[in-house]
Amino acid sequence: MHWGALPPPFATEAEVRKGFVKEKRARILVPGVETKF
Amino acid sequence: MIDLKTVTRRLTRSLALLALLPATVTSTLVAQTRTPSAPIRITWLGRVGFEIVSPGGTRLLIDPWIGDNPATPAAFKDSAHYSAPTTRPAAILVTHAHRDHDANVAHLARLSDAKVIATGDHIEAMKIPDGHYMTINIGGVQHVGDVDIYAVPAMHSVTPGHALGYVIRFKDGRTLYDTGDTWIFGDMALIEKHFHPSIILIASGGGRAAVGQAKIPQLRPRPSARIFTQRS
Repeated sequence: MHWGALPPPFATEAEVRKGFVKEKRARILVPGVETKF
Repeated sequence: MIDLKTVTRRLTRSLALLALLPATVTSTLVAQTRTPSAPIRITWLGRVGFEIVSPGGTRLLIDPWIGDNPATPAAFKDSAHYSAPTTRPAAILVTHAHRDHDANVAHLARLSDAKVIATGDHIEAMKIPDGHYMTINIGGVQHVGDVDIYAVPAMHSVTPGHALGYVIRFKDGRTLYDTGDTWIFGDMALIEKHFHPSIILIASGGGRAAVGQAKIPQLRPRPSARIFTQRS
């Protein structure tokens, strides 16, 4: 059984990186690394 | 004797001050509620699990599937992390009854003595003993340490109960919205209106899907807002 899957992605990771990550409005998290706000 | 010119000048000045007052009060309130008191600390535990530490030190887990999760770092698979006085969670928030969200919740609750927050149906299914849980439902709120935890809808299949998202409100007024596993839906506009999320955790459990802000017109984070996406 497949758990927790969403339908096809709304935006690819590349799009997120190119847009919001570049604008510093989004971050791709790394497991175990703490991020502070 | 005061001439007409003086009266006009004083009246104009008074009206100008009155006009400024609401803006001043508004600005002050915004500053008071949005000025970070201390950092909010967020650690992704792999898949859909997060550890969140509030500015006041309240430690929360969300959907901590860590046992056989290949993405969870070894340090966060260690039971000692969840039982040590300095790192044990105060509460464990569970969005819905799928294995990659709740498989380790009962075990971690026993280790840490944390309160499990989930729907009543889901609490029963997880067999959480009395005194170790706080039930919540959509629209409800629970208070843990220095944070308020609100349950909001998520659009996702689940039995029992209902899939949830969570909004965590911190003492300094900032809010964190974990969408849970969900499709885009209209109530996101209400969540935006009522909570104005400062931090948004998106695409939890979405495999390689990453939901971009631009693709969710219901959410309009301010320039200070941050959106986390994640790799599975």
